[in-house]
This record gives sequence, C-alpha cells and structure tokens, in this order.
Amino acid sequence: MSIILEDVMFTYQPNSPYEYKALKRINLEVNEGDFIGLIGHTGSGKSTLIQQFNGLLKPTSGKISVDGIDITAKGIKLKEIRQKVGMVFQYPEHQLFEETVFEDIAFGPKNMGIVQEGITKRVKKAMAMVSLEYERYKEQSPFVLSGGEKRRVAIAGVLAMEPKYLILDEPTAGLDPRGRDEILAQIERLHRNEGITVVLVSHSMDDVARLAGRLIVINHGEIIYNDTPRKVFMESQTLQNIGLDIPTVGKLMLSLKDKGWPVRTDLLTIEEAKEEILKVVRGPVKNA
Amino acid sequence: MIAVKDLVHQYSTPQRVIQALKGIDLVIEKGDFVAIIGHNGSGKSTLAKHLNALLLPSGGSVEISGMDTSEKDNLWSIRQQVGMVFQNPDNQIIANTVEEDVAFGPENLGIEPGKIRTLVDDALSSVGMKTFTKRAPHLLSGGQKQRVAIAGIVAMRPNILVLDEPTAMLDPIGRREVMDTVLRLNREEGLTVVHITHFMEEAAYAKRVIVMEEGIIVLDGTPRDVFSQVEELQKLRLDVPAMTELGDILAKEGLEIPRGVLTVEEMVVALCP
Amino acid sequence: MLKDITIGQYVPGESSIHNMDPRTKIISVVLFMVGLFMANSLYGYVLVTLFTIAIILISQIPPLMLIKGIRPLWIILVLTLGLHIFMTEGQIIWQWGFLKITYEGLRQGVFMALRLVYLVTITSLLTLTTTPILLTDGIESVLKALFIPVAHELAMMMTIALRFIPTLIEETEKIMKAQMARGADFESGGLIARAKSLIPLLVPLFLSSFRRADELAMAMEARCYRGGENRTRMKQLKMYGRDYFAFIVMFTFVGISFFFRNGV
Repeated sequence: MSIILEDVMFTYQPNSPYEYKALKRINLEVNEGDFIGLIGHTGSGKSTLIQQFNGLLKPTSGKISVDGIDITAKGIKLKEIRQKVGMVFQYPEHQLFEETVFEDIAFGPKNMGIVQEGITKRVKKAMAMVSLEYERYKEQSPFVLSGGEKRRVAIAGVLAMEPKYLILDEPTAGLDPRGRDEILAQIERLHRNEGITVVLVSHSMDDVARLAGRLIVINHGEIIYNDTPRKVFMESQTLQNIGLDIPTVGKLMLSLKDKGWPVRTDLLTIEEAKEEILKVVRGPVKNA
Repeated sequence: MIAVKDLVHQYSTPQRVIQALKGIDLVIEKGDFVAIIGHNGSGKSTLAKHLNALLLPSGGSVEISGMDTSEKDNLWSIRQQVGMVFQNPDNQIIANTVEEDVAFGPENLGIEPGKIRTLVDDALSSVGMKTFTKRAPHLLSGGQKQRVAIAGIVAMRPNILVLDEPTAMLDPIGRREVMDTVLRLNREEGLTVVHITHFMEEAAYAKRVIVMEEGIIVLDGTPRDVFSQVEELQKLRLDVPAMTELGDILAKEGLEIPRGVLTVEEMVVALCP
Repeated sequence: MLKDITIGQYVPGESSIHNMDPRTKIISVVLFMVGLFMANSLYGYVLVTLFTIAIILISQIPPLMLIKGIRPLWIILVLTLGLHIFMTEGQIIWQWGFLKITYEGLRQGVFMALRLVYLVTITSLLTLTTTPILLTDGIESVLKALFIPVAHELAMMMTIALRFIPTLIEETEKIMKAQMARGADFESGGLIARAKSLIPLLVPLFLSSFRRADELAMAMEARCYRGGENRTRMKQLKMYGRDYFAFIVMFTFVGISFFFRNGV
C-alpha cells in the first residue's frame, strides 16, 4: 500500500497575472514503512507538495492515489483520506482550541464519527505515543502548558486519528534543544514501534541524515533527488547551489579528502566519522 | 557597558511566586559579542528584557552605561541605547512599508524629518535591504523581515543590540542572513551584541558564551571554553556543535585533539597539523 | 459580496486626484457632502450629478468599479425609494387601492436615492485614489487640526490594522487547513452546524491575535513608542497648487449648490 503521485502539477491562481507554478510534474511514491526526509529551501514547493497527499490542495493536473483510492476523482470522501494521511503543520500548537487536552486530542476522532469509548482509548494511546501522562494532563487546559508540551498535544491530536501515514512539516521549528530531541525521538519511535510511515519536512540536514531512509530533494517545484541520504548527500555541490547544505560530518570528510586523507565522503553521523577517522589514523594507510 | 548586579526577577501566578532570575551577576563590555544559550524557561529572555527596562528588577540592579534601569528618568535614553529584536518577525513590524517601519523608532525619538530620512537610508544599507525600501513587509521572507527589524533598531543609533532568539523561526538561509548582518554590525560598527539563541553553531561565532539554567548562569567563557565542557552541556541536555562532540569522542580514543574544536576548519587543522 | 465593496480598496494611478494631498481629499469629501445635502431642487441635483461625473472622469477610475461598489446597496436604495414614493402625501399621479404614488413622493424618493449613490461613490473615490498610508496620515492630520484628542491613536490603530490584514488572512487559511486535516468540515451542514464548526477556527485565531498584539506592544515599547507626544514623522504632507485649486472648486460647488437651494 502506498501514496502514489503521477505527473502532479499545481498552479496557484491559474490564468491570472499572479499565476505561479508551484509543482511541475511530480512523480513520487511513498511506500508503507518508509521514513522519508523531504528537503528544499523555503518556496521550493515542499508545503504545496505535502498538501497534495491528503487532498487539502487538489492538483491542477495529474493523479494521486492513497492505498489505491484515487483522491483526485470527483465525489471522493476526503475525510477518510485525511484519517489515513495525518498531517502535522508547522507550529501545530497554534491550532489548539479546546478547553482540555483530552477534548482537543479527541477532536479528530470525533470528526471521524467515533463514539465515546473508542475516543477515550484513542486519546490515551495517542498521549502515550508522545509521552504525555494521561491522568496528569487530560483535564488541563492546553494553553497553560509549555511550548514543547503544547506541540506534543497537537501531534497527539493527529495521532489519535490513527493515521497510517504521518506527514510532519518542520516539527522541531522554534523549540529548544531538549524539545527538539524529544520530538525527534518520538517520531523515530512512532516509525519503529508503531509502523507508521513518516514524511518529515526539515531544514536540518543533520536530522534527516540521521533519521530518514530516503531523501527527496525538491527545487523550483521539481524533484531533483529521490534516493538514500548517503547517495543524495554525495551531491554536495548541487545541493549548495540550490541553497541547501550537507551534514556537518560530510563537510569534514570532504575537507579531509581534499587534504589527501583516504576517507569515504558519504558518511552521515558522528559515530561513522569517528570510525572512519580512527581507521585512517590507526590503520596502515595513515596519511604521509 | 552593561552591569548587572545580583539581579532577581520574580512574578506571581495565582498559585505561587516564581523566581525567573535568581541572582545574576554580569558585566558586558563595549563592543563585545555575547551569546546566551539555555532552555526555554532558563531565564534568558527575562534577562534580555531587563537590559532595556521592559522589565524592572525585583532585586539587585541593572545599569546601562551608568544609568540605572529602575530610575524612571532614564527609561527613554536606555531604550534608545539598547535596541531589541524579538523572535517572531511578523509581530514586530508596525508599518505598511519597509521604510516607514524603519522610521518608526527615530520618529518616536522626535528627530527632525530630514534627519530621519538619512538614518533610515543608512540603516537599510547596513542590513543590505536598501532595494526593498518601498516593499510591503508581508511580501518579504523571514530573514528579510528580521533584517528590517534590525534596521529599525540601527536607525535609532543604539550602542547595544539585544536579540531574543531572532533566528528561531527562520530557515537556514534566513538564519545565515541574520547572523551575517549581526556579525557585521558588531565588527564594523562596533555595536555591542547580546544574542540569545538555541543554535549552538551561532553561539560558536560569539566572543563569549553564557549558559543559563533555572535562572542562574552556569557556564560563562569563550565558546572554546564553554563548548569544551561537553559532558556538562550534555547533562544540561544542550546541544554541542557537531565538531566539538566529534573532537571529544576522538580525544577519548587517544587522539590528540585540542579541547573545544568548534568548526570543520578547526577540526581539519587539528587532524592534519 | 464582501469583496465587491470598493470602500477601502486602492487603485494605483497618476490622475490629479490620485496626486492630491490626502487632507485636501478628505476635506473635499466633507465639502461635497455639504453641497450634496444642500441640494433639494432639480437644478441642484443636475449640478451635483454633473459634478460627480466630472470627478469620476478626472480620477480615471473605471466607472464599472464604482457601480460594483454601489451594488451591495440595492436593498437600501429600493427601500428608500419605496418609502418615499408611497408614503409622501401630495398630488396623486397613480392610485390602486390604498397604494398611491404622489408627485412629491416620486421626486423625494429619487432625490434621496441619488443622494445615497453619490455619497457612496465619492467616499469610494477617496479610498480608491489614496494609499492606505496616506489616508491614515491625512486623517490624523485633519483630526489633529480639529483638536480631536485621540487623533494619533486612531491613526496608529488604522496603520496597524492595515499592516496585519494580510498576516491574519494567511493565518486563517493555515488554521483552517490544519483543522481540515483533523477532519473538520467548514462547508456542509445547516446554519447551526456551520456556526459551530467555526469554533475550532475562531478560538485559535483570537488567541493568536492576542499573542500578536502582546508581542507587538512590547516591540513598540522597546522602540521608544510613547504615544503621539513629541513624535515626528519622516514624511511630511505638503500642499501644492492643485490642492488650493481643488479647494476653490469645492467652495464654488458649495456656493452654487446653496444658490440653487429651494429653487425649481
């Protein structure tokens, strides 16, 4: 099962002086179990792209299907699609509105037509997924919580719909280091333990290098890379030309290679860099 | 010069009294570039707001160039001397065009119209936004909006620039733009900078880094000194620049890496002398 | 319908009305109203009509746009016309049962409706030919000249409102999408269901507006804002020859209008 985009184009305000082609022929498959990092600078078309996945924006042309259901067809029930494809927008805490944490998280399931017992079960489960203690938080107003807690409530609000696919648009924006770590660790757990398919939009190359199994790079409304992080980050020159970076470790390896060190340059994490450097320093092929 | 002496800040909620700052002692010299890091709720924003009398001490004192912030008569000269840039670029632009917004501060100071024009033009040039003079603010990128906000402060000719997480809501390009601007203002125009951030790479550019936790200063020194204390920082669950962390790991493996390596360039030098 | 209202929009242009000082335009609108309300004779209305047409032509604003601006008023126009036509006593020209149309009623009704149309047209022209910034500056300066104490505050409020309209529209869209992603439905259902479905949109919108207001106030204070006292402006409004000419024209208009009063 998967989300499949075929020749998807999207134009804002077509046939007007403000016409703007945000997506040009996107072909893309999000398979069950994937952890995809979606990167591209602001205005590259990332936000427009993710809104195609659950029908918040309808493509100007092309076809999108979710688990075999054509969501561009007329008369399609988008509610079911939006249940399947959960979407966490940037600063999701700004969408909180209920009096209690419980009620806010229950908003999604209620809209899905689920009844009381089911709702309680789902809210409990969703709160556990984002490490919010049910008894402690359920009656609290979401507005008195800290920034990081609010964001977790908002993410739980999406998780309570039990989506198969979870799209997150920069879920760590504006958080402090501890908040960032916690959210990323939770997303990783959701993918690993709950088997949720994740599409993570991020500006942090270090984060996607560490987490994603596949990277999609988008520029001017076109996908220019769709491969493993290791392969994508080898293209450091192109990435820099389109205003993106490579992980810090990759930069170090490239510099060392320039200095004549026989090192691999497709490394992503500090742990990998350590092994590689030690190999060179201790091994027989040490730099002359 | 900023002199903070035993500064205490407390406020009360219906439930209890909260001490956001518990005795801060701090002297910041003219022309310095100080980065303050720490978690949300560590008191860093509260401290920043004391620097231009948006908040007043519950105990202790804050002096800006010898002026006590708790003296009412000093208020406006302190606010003119200490400019502040906030986190959300959308919520600090007041006017409908870039130039009108930059003029807002000088207008409040009652400067004569002809002179305001010069101040605005100079300020916009110094942040590299001269070509956007007539633009409506909502059509700018996040980084551009923050540069306009900085220009709005620069036009008031302050001595000190306090930035409260100015890059938190920006993308990497916007962060770069803001950092470059701030660094230039510090180096070329001699502005004293107090930069609050969650990004350790930004703090690495400062001359001095202060780490706050629960209303007190826990670490204070050059970026090299502070970031070399990798374990202490990790205990506080703060990030360490990637190269510092790698250097620390390699040093434990017996390699001769100096403590507190901050950038890729420094790491390369350390590995191949 | 909301987007049809032309009051508050600005159409860029280089006509002499566009280039006039905003204060001139604001005072001229007031003078126009004086002339308009003085007119009560056929000649008076002919004068006002010709004068309005002349101003529209000089402003180079497409007349269609102005007509669009009047369209939302049709209910009020029909009511005004109807009430006057049927309710005024006088020389009967048509009767059916208790319904009767009098000559005086017809005349009064048409005059009243025209008055309304011209009023809206000229006010629309003011905003259509003046940028919001200049309009605000103009209002501030006129109010100040009249020694109205809150002139500066009113103008500042307008400036900020104008500045935040695009931001809030963007925000509304964002919150709407976020709630739709959680299965919210803003489009179907009866009136009550629809009103209820707005809560998840309005609550976050209000909260964020308050947050913005709070932060904005802090940013303004940090930039030494302390109200209108001792405040200067970078841009000074300046009157030119065409402004003085406009005043001469306006006073002449009021004069003639007064002359025609109680005529034919």
